[in-house]
Amino acid sequence: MATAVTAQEQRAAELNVISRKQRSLWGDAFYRLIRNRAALVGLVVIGFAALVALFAPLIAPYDPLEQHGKDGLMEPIWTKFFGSQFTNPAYFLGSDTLGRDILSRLMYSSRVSLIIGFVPVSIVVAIGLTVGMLAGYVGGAVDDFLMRVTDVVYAFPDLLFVIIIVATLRGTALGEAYDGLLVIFVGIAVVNWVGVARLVRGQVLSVKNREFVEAARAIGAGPGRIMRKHVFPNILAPVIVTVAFAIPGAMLTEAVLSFLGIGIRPPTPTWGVMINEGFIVFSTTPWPVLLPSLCISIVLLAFTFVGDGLRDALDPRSKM
Amino acid sequence: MAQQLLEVTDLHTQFFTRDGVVRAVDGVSFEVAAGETLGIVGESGCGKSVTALSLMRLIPVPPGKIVKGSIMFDGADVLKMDDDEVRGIRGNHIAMIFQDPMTSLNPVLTISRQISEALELHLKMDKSEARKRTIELLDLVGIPSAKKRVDDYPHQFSGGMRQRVMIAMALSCNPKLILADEPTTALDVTIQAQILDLLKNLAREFRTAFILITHDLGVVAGMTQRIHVMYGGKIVEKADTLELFANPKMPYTWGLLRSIPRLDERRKAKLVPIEGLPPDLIAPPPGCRFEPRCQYRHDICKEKEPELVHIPNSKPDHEARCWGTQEGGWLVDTDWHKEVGDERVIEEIKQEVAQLPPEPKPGDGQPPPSAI
Amino acid sequence: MLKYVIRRLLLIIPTMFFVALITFTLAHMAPGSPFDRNANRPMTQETIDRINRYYGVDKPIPEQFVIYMGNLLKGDLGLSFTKQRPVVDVIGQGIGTTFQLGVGALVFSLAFSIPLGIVSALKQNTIVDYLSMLVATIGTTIPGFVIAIFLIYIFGVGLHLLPFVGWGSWQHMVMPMFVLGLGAGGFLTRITRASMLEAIRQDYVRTARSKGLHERAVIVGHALKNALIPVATIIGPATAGLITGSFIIESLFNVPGMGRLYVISILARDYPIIMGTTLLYAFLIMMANLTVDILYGVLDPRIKVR
Repeated sequence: MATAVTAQEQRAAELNVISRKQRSLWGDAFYRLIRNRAALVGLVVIGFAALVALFAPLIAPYDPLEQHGKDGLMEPIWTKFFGSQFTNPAYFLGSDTLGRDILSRLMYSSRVSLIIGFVPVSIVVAIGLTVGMLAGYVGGAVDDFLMRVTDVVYAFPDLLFVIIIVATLRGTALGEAYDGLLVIFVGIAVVNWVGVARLVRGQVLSVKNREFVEAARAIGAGPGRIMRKHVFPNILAPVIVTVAFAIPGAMLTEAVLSFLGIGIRPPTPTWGVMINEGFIVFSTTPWPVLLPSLCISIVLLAFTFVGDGLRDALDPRSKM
Repeated sequence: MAQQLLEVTDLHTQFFTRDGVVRAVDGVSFEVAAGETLGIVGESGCGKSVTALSLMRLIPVPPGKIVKGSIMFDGADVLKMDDDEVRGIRGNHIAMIFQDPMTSLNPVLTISRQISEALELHLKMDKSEARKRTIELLDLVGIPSAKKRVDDYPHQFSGGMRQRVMIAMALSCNPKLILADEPTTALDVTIQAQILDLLKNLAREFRTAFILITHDLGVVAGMTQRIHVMYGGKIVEKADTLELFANPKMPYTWGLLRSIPRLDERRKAKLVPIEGLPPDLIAPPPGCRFEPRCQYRHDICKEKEPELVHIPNSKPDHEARCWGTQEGGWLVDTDWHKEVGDERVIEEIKQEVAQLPPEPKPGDGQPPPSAI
Repeated sequence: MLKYVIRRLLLIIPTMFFVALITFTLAHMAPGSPFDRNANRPMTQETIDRINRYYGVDKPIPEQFVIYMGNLLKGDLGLSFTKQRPVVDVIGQGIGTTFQLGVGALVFSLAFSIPLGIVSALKQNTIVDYLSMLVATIGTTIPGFVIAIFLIYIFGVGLHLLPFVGWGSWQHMVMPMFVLGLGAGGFLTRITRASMLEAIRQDYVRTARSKGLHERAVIVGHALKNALIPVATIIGPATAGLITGSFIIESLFNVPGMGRLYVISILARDYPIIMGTTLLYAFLIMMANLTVDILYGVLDPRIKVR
């Protein structure tokens, strides 16, 4: 009898000829993301920017608001090798019209830009998820409300709506808060939560009728528990991808607003503000425009690569 | 022997993937005569579909490649033809019916267009001729009100109807050979029977050769003259249909036959599946590919791969790839079809019967207890 | 189908109402009146009051709204505060230019992106694919004004090839149209490529090949027809994108179109212009979305437009 048992076990072991290591769904997605080189580079860049933002007060050579009138419009020090007369070793990347060090301003700009990237998007996701899940799962009045609101909001070009909100609220007390940061948060949040809510609603609707939800209901799980433990994890993937793209979207919106003159109030530096200021002196020296343009472009590209990578990693159908 | 319609010799089709080279078809040889229906049977992943696609050179060239072998169709080697010649054969002399009619038909084109395409291309018909012929074909395959429905789109048909459309498409240019890859797998059982009947009648009427590919032994039983069993990229048994069912000579085939639930089995009888998983086609084992799952194996099975050869105690063209049943093997002249599992079942049956109430004598007017 | 279109057209009305309501409310939430903070023309409070009365800005906001809506139904969009001319005229003047710019950008992006997307899909993972995806990513990610600035620097300031202020000759049009089209184009390329990639992997493509069709017939006759359906549906978002893009591009290149007008009006709190242009934009977008839905129903026989 004993030998039969071990023979059986041995057999079972042999039969599992093809067995791969077990990996959880999220672990699998993570590895796929890391394997994507563009996404990896993107993550590194974002990490770097975050570090700069975090430690800006410590590593920036100057106070970004400090003006040195007589040193206006210095050019980056390497231009000396190309014959520029206007360099000053004290300002590594040069200075702007009012003599403020560009390098320091760039560093501090990363703070504002990243905050604008993450904070309103978090609000958007929180509201959008809640409303979307309720609309999708419970339906009824919440769903109708969401649909009407969506129709109206979608009728506006989104930038237009943000512009209106920001421009008109600027004069108010809300607009003054944090140099206009709060108003921009509000603008971005109000316009974008609808999109997330719609997406979530659609996902919930398709998950709601799947058999495992029915099974959960059959064993007596209440709507709250079902939404939390069954629906929510299964709708996360597209939401994550949307978030990944919403962050650079918010940063871009701020840059555009600042460029048009209705964004963050000066003298606070953001890349958009710096581009706006630099554009004015464009014909004299391109650097005050080019440098922040480069910064924002790189960061936006990084987020896009990460977003693409996330989308591919989380898509069960893509072969990786 | 008269020249066969199709002669496949030592076909090797491989896929070059990031994880390695998948040897999907690893040395397959067979023939099909004109008008004959051959069944190719095997589980998912055994290489039967890839074989069929290889015959028409429909393997996507990266990552796949037909690396070796010859496919003689009507005397010419398909693998040596240039692209134009191959296209001349596809849809014209060899046609294929695919598994899932839902996805295999183009959703944005009318079925009239999809069937006429081949007619216009190969038979050089003009639009009105092609349309007339299309309606005839739809009638032939049993689509009601063909004239009215010819301009409909695929989504307007049911699954069974769609498969009939695919059959009409395959028949359109009167091919000499039709490859049917799991033609009924995606359909309801009752529709399956209808479709199989249709295919059988068409084969007889037009004397078209068929290769019927399926994992379902029930499908090939009533349809084919000969059956080839595939496993792990190779053919492991070849026999006439009746001979295969009555006298299987390869443990895999026997396992397939036994794993079919039978209506006349005792309710308590257990289903006997074949344990284990198919072999890894990237790194196939040196010995017999079925060895890990085989109840009858010996050491040699792990070391050396058996050849496909004629088997003693069977019909003349019955071949199998098994050390045990070959000339000199340990299963020759034994009752290997009956073994441990069977004895257990027989014992259980004996015990159950002993516990039953005594059967009423005939003439009592009572129906005997049913055996189900 | 006709019933559906009519129903959608009717639905536009309540939506427009809400658009107007929201815009009006927001615009008037800005403190003060549009006329008091004007450093160029210092005015006495009395003058300011008189102007406010003239433009009806002294009335309570709900009343202003009702008056506005009433006028709107009569086709009267009011008078521009800053230009003292009927809003309809002012918009009419700018719209031609913006339309030119928009259509030009759209045509440019369609002509380049769709073929590029198709070729990328067919030659996946080759140099062609990587390059076009790179361009597409740049187009969609990097802000339009950044690209514009780079281009201005190279072609305008550096090489003196193209003018970058104003409008009038075709040279003026090149850079604005290119930049505006690049954003939409990048998006289009990606969508076309993704859609085409999916289409050529479908079973029906294999069926088409199995019938002996030439590869070109398979791609064009079978795959492409399916692939282009989702592409047609992005006309809606593309239109919205072109509209918002026009704000930035026109401001940057100093093109006298509606976009630039809009930005200026917002800053100047010229309510009638703000309202008029917002309503016009909203209407355009809703029409674009309706067109997309109709197009979808026409192109895809599986969709029954109820």
